[in-house]
Amino acid sequence: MRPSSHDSAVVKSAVAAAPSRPRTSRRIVVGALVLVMFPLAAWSARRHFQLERRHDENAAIVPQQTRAGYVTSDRCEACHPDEYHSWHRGYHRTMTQYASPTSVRGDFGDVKLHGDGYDARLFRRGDDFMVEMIDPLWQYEVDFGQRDVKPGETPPRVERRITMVTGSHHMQAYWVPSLVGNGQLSLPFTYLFDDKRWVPRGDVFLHPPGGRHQEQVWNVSCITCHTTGGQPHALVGGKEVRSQVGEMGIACESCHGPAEEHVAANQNPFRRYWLHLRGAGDPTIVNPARLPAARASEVCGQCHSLTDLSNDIYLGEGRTFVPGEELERSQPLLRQLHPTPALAKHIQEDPAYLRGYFWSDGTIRVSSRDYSGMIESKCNSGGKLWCGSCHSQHKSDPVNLLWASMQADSDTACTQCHKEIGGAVAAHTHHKVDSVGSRCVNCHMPHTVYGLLKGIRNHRIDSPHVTGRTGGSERPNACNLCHVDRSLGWAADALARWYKQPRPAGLTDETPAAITWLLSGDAILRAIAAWHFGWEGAQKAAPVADAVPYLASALDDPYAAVRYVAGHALAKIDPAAQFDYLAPVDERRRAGEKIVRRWLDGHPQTAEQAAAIEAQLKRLTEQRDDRDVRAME
Amino acid sequence: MAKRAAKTTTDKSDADGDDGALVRRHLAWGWWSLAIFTTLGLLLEAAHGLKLGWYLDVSSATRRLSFTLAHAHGTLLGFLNIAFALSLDKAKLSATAASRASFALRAVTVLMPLGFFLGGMVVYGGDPGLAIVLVPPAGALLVVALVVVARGFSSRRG
Repeated sequence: MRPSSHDSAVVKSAVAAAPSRPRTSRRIVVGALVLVMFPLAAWSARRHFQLERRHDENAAIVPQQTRAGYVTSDRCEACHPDEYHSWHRGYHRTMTQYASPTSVRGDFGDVKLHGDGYDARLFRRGDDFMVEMIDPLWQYEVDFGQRDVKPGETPPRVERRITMVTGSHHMQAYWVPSLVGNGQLSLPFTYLFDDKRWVPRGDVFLHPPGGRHQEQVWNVSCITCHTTGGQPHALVGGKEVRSQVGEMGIACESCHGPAEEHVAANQNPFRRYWLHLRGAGDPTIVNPARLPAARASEVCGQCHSLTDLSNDIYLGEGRTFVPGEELERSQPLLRQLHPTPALAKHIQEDPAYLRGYFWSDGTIRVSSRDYSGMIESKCNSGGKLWCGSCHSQHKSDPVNLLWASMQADSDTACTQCHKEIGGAVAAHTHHKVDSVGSRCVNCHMPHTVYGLLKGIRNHRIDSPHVTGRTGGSERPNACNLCHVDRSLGWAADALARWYKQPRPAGLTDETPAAITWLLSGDAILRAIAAWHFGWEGAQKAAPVADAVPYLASALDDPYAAVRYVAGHALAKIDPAAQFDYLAPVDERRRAGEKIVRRWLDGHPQTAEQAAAIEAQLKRLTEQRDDRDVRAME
Repeated sequence: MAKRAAKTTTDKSDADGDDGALVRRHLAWGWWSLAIFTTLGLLLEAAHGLKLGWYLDVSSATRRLSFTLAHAHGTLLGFLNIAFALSLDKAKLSATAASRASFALRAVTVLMPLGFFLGGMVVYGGDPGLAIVLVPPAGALLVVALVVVARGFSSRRG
């Protein structure tokens, strides 16, 4: 039955007269949705544009993905997720990063800094990290004699955004734009993570006192090793700088080589499965583990060594070494034990050149040159040893990159070859099996490399021996770095008795060798000796507390870095020992005296004993090797 | 004529009998698939709960994806078997077409989850194991089955 027109009118009027509640409710719902959605949409759009802007800004700082053949780690993750993530959590990746709230670890909460002739104010502006400082380009030109400062001239001050950060493990350095091309100059302050403090940039390096830290140019000093496929291009148009990198930080292609061909070839699934099933390597990419030992180590050696970098590498097209190639072809090694004309040229230009890198016996003594140490080892001559014998980028603790199966300081690394010693440890070491004296690395790889304000294991694997000489840049022996309370003669006797080593003549001084090194060595030797008093190995083997007056004396060392190391060693012996290595000299002395007084409370000395210590301090300090030395870490 | 009518009746009852068998078969396949692959889902959840490294570690990302796909495809194919069974009396499929669609669907129900599952057992970085080769032909068979059924529904045959 069809409705009549009357019915229709009734329905219409009923609809019109119906309460408007449902429609009102709908409007409320729609209104609420708009209220919620609009801000969300606005926030998303803002975030999107912020990220776009940051991406463009980063590309303007130093562009990535611009070097031919490089594809960046982003392309590696899909096929190598495990390797990608093991690399991603490590410190190689974060060696150089664009500045951002996730990469910057220093305190930028409106901090005012003074020191080493610089001052700066650090603050935040949204997600940006800002500094107000002397114009770094003006400072650079003054530092390098390109500008004369007129009497009464006030250095121009500028406000700059921090563009990049270097380091993420121990300390962090910062860079600001020079405004000459994309040149980046250093912020003259560095943030120390353990100390949670800013210090002048120069005071994190071991260098002669009085010298002022000079502006550094990232594009020249750092780009080669702290990025992947970095190209300085710092000579284009004279002062122009147009640097570019394959990728920021040390990424996959640093060790495996440019991967464009590899990525293209392996888009073919049949090829990939053919390679999987064969289990053979892929000729389109370098896997260091499949290279001969020497070639494989050179992959690490491209950065972790002392090599002669040409001007074209430093300033022009960047490194030409490709993993798998012979390193010598593009970066000849500089070895004190194997001198070359290139080394002679460096020595001619700087007579103190060798001292900045090597102990007097030709062993490398500054950090980041581990390959230079390893190749001088006897173990290296067997053709089996390579960096991957102990280290792994992908299956390791990111702190020391030792294979996960090798606990730090364990013997596993050595006993994989020296099985017979592993089976009779005590017979070989003449120490208790479970003591620090029976750990292979403590005798054969002692901490005789200086860097990052601490002692680091030397990768020249050799046996401890006593030469009879002390001080200067004489490499300290492993025995006396553990037994810091014993003399050279004592160590020589033990080595003669156990290993039939000839005992050098003239070892009559009964002073503990470590104390002699601490006060009479050159600055690197003093820092190494100071560090060992705080090292747990020495603390287990010797009454390190007896050395407090000597360490307190080192708090007055002319080298800031030595004072830093000595202060930290003291704090490990007596946690109450407070010391600021950069405080004015009077304050430092007062702190040292206070530490000694605390020590005397627990270690009462007779007048004669106190006088003997004083005399020894005076004698050894007078013998200090004060030749300038700069640790070229 | 009567003979002919009798034959038609017999054919119809045979067809009904075939359809009935097919329906039962796919209902059984569907419910068993659901039972098996929801159980797999339960096991995968347990792996999450127990934080099993073999399943959850970064190096197992491909395995995790493969197993998840096995679970998801197996479960959905279970539903598809049930849907196929319930559609048979409405779709105008010839006996041959129904038989082909049924075979394809059953083959897919086995091959696709199996390919994903076995592919996840041994992985090569970002690539699943070789058993993953079962998946593409299974995907093609699934398309065949779906097209056959879809044609049955769009056919104008009385």
